[in-house]
Amino acid sequence: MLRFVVLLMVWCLPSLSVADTVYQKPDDFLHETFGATPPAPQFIWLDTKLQQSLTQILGHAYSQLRIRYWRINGHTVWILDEIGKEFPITAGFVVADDKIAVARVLIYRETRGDEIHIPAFLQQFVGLHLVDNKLEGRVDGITGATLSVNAMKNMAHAALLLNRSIP
Amino acid sequence: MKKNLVSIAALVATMMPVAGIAENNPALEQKVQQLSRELDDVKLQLNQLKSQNEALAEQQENANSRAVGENDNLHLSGYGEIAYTRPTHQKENAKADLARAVIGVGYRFDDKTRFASEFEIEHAVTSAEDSGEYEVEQFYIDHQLLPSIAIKGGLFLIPTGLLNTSHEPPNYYGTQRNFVETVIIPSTWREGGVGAHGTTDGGLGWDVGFTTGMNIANWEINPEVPRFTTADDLGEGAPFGETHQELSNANAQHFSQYVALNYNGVAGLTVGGSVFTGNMGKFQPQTSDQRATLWELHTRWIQGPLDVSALYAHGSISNTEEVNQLYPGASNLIPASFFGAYLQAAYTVWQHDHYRLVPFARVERLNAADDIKGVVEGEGDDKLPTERVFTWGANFYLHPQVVIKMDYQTFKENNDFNRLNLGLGLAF
Repeated sequence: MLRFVVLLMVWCLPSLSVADTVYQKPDDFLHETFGATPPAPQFIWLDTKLQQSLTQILGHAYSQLRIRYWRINGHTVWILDEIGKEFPITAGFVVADDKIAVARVLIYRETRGDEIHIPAFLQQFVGLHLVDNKLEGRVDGITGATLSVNAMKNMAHAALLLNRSIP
Repeated sequence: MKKNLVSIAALVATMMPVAGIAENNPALEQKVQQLSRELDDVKLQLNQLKSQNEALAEQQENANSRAVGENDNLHLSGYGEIAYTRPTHQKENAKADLARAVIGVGYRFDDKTRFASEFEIEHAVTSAEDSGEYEVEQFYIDHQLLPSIAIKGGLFLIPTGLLNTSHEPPNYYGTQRNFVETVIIPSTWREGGVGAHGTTDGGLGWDVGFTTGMNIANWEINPEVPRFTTADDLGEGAPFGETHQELSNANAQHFSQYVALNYNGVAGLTVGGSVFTGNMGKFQPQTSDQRATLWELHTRWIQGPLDVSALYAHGSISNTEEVNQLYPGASNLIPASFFGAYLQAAYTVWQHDHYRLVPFARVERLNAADDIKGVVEGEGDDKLPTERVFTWGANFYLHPQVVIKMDYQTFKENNDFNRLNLGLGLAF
């Protein structure tokens, strides 16, 4: 049994861990999306109406006066934070043609539920869009990661709403 | 402010054509100059406000980025459930109970090291005269040792089955936790020890460790109190429930080992299993050491509104024959093997905002003593009958973390246990 355990640990070494894992730095996400020279960030101010909409999505107001975003050629990038169970998850979203084009977990800080960083799960976010301001599209959950899954869905919803709100 | 600026600007614009006229009209010229000064003041104030807002927003962004893991280190969580059960044929045993109230305290020392704990009160009141218990459910440190491996040490949940590590009320269907994962797998099952864990990019989660294990000396081979008078008693005398130690003055002469694997590489699908095995010690000094082993396989498939899960668990205890032969006629001989299996399906039939109605059905088969060795002829049975439980009902979510539950359970072998259950569960 002990030999099997050691072999299993060695086999699983090239893997990523839980708790404060940086899967991709936000700057690297921007470079991946926009190339060597990302555009300068712009800001959307969260007025009362927008905060109300975000509160409906997140269950609480977004804890900033403004949110920065990056835009070029009709693509916008949003880097948002939302608490799963205990600590914030930092996620990046690319919105194009009013739909999620890319969803990525950038930094994960919980002790469990990090399966949301798996490409097979994130691929479900591609194509999500809004219909009557409600998130349209299916994202199947992950056993033991319900709160993290919900946080990602809420952030995707927020990114689509914010994308619609910029001039 | 903006409106004032626009108004003044519009007024000035309308007055521009009359600038020439003002030259001949000192009063008008004076008015124009006054308005011009006021306009400059307004512009200055507007620019100051804009700068202040931007500075405030930047301060807030910086504060938030610090709060992510630096200043916001202490975290509280919890869960609880209240249950009402009404046996159809034993109405005198109807019960309302604050089954559990659990508070979790977590602390983040830095971006690599954190502490997690849970403290539980069962049945509302704990005292020598009451049935409640106060327990420490979890108390451990998790540390990211290498970029690819995290380690943990302390009292933590054994990563087995579907329910044990995901046991908060909103996470399972039915007022009561399923019997397979309470009688055969003694959720919430925790032991003390060390472990390592991680998840690969391909979706394979792994968890291995060494912990305290079962202590056969805790087995009550001839209890005074009759067992199985209500459905809630089905776990009484269950092999692992009777002998697990939970780091409470645990006998640590022998350590057990576990391995758990879970694959989530396909969206919506979980497939996994685990093995836990260890030396239980001796029941009597003259008997051999006994080994407890529990293995299980499970799967869960979530596809849109459909949620299907299945699990099979099998346990064994070695060298039970020589012990049981010492106690002919005892009412609770040590089983050599035990098993449980269930199949469950749930379907979200209605959803609006956070509200969600999810009917479900579950069939379970379990036997806490499928094989009893060393039974003296005429002095008892060499196995218990296999119980089959059918549960059907619905979870109604007021919020993803607040749920009202209603279900009915029928028992094939102990149909006096048939009962209606109502429950309120929450987690935060």
